[in-house]
Amino acid sequence: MINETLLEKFFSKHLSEAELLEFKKRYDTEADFKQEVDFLNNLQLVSETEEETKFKTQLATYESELSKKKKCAIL
Amino acid sequence: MEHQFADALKHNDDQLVKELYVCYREEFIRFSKKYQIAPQDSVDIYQDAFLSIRKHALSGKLYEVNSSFKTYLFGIGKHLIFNKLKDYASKKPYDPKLHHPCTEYEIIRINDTQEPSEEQKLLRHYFNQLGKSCQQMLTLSFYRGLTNEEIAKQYGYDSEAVVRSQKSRCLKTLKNLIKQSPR
Repeated sequence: MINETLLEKFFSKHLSEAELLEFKKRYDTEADFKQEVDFLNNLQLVSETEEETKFKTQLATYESELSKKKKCAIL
Repeated sequence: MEHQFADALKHNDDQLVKELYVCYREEFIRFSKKYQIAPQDSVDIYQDAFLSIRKHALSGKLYEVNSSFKTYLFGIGKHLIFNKLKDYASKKPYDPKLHHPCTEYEIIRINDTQEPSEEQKLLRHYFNQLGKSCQQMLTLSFYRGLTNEEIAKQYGYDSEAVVRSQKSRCLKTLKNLIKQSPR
């Protein structure tokens, strides 16, 4: 049985020292737990990439607005 | 570090982020010119520096920084400029003097992005097939590191239990999509 609270605390960086030890022990000894943590770590990277893509689009919008302003100044 | 700027990046305050972006853009392009960086590359580097500083805001690291927002941004930019110079060096003769024209900003080293594994590519494909609310829920939990209670409070869910159950449903859907994929 995967301990969801432990996982939630791990990803929100709220693990106490004792919980961190339990987390490490489970990761090293329980195949199901390790598999779930690895999956969620990959999910973390994927969601980070998606967030960055959205932010890049936001920055590109600023750039295009700036270049439009420059064009207006010439006209 | 000015906390209001870190907050703007963390909570995606579009107006303030835009003001910051516009405010330092021209100066950064002039700064990168000292290193003979091409203008279009300067803009790309500036955007990458913004991405990195946002990442540091989200992780909380930015709140512990003693320097100003501008110094930190330009420090990251300098790291990225040096990476670009290495890239240029592979295509044309390298001028080592370019590494020392300006000592104004201390380099802020950042982790360079790694290529995603096949497993991560597959996961990304199916993550994008989830509904927007599931994508947001999983991003808030696993990337932003919010607890179920924080998500409930900040995003208007009835309770922590509702968040927990929706998150569990989203994860199940994602896992099923992957399981059914014709790999």
